[in-house]
Amino acid sequence: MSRPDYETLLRSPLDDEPEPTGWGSALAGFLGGVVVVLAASWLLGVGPGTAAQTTAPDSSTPPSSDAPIDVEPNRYPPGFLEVGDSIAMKPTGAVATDGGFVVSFTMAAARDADVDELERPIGGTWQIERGDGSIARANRLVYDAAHTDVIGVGFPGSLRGDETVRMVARWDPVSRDAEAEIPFTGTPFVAEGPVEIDVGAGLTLKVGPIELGRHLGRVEWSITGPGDPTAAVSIDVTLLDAAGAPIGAYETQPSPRDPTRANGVAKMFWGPGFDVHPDEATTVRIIAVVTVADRHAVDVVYDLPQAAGG
Amino acid sequence: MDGTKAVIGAVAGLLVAVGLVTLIGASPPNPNDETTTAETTTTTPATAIPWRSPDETVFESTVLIPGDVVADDGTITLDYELESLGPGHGAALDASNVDASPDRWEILLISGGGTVVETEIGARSVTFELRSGVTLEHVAAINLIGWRAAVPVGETIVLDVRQGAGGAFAGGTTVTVETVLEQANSVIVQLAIDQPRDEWDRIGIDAVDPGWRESGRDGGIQYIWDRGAAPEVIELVQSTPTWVPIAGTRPVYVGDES
Repeated sequence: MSRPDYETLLRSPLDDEPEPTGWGSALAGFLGGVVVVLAASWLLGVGPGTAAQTTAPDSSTPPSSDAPIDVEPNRYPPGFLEVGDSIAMKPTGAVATDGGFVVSFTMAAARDADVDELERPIGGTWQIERGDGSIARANRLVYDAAHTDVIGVGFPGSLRGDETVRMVARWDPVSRDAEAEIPFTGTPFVAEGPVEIDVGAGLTLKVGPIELGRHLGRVEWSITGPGDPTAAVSIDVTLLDAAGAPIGAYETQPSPRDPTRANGVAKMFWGPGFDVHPDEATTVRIIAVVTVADRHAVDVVYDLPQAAGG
Repeated sequence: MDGTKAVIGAVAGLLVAVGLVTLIGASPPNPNDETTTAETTTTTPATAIPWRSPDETVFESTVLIPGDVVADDGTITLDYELESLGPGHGAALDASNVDASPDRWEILLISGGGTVVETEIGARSVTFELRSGVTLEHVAAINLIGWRAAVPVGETIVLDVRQGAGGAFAGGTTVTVETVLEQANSVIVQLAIDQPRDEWDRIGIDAVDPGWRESGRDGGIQYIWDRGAAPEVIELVQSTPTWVPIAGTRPVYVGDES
């Protein structure tokens, strides 16, 4: 038994090609060197694009439940920009009105914020900046009692599509408590007033007329002082018996938020759970919370949503 | 001699390749690099780590958390809850407190086709009417394709204090003076209110002049003026928001069956 002719079996058809001569061997070496270096650089992670992948990994893949979360979560929902400590805002919609338009600014709390401790802005200063360089300040703020995380911001003119809106100040609430007492003569109770209450900081709250019925109450108020002050005023009325003990209360629900008012009306409801008839009271205690805007400069710019038909 | 040439070529190739790699690696970021970085910066957000639930859908500052999905005789109903990411809320919201609410939905079937439905502000379920025999196994996806955002507008209208006078707010609420009762020392104006579907359970209309005192009345509002001669007009402001439709697409998790 003869050994197989391995040289014949392993022979490649290319073995019949003539060996490179002249500078062909140099060209082959050149190409080989290029291939070696490029392959090494690829294996070692050196080269275009890899730096970005290393420093900013593709974090769009949702984390699995059994893997540790190694990405920093966004503190706010998409599109919300921070305007204060753990508070962000976003313009969510616009409505054309007679002679202007209103943009709604919705608030969001930071993901890591304790919402019970958060101080919500009660307003702000906004301006529209148009493509032609003109600027228009907001001319009114609109509040809805049921939507306490939204502020409507009114602007003059119409939306043209080339605007941005800039928030230049955030209004934080600063509240002052004030009280006064007047005699109670039974329901229906009407005290024309006004009862003047010193709020401090040069402010005087004038309360009246005061109307108290079996279930409902109504109090008109105005705020006075230097510089045409405005405030959001919440008024509760507690009825006291002859011994000075409270027997029930009319409460303003919900608390007003608009700090741009110089006067207003507090509508109150006789609080639930009080079995005693108001007529057993002898004293009306007026409890007011006067909230003014404390302005803080910010600089946040948003694109505007398109206006819906008013 | 060929071996020497091959070595020379290899050295030259190495040098050129090293130079190329160095040049490319040290060159200023090209637009593709920026795109890559920007994408990884902006695509992480709310979908990466849930705010309230792994199955949630976030739109504006509202979180939709899907509940039961039930197929019944060609209809598929999805229940859901809404929560707010705003600073004023943390729990499930009452209908009247939702700052953004689902509006338009689509259901897509594996076989192709599907349907689009709308839901009311404050709804907590959506029902898709499909052909008989369709079950959850036929569903490819349910998407929220539109929602509405609350815009407090504070619109005002002025009505003559005259029976039959009327006006309308832009959002669709109409007000009609039903009755004007002139008494010895006062004038009573009774208004009828007709609200569109979006306006919910709150009338949300007030007289601008505090001299008009409001009193309760079923189906409308009654104002009393008892401060001398009554004005010839009554200005009303609507505090309920206008709900602005916003287009978008947000997939809604409906279980592993789909």
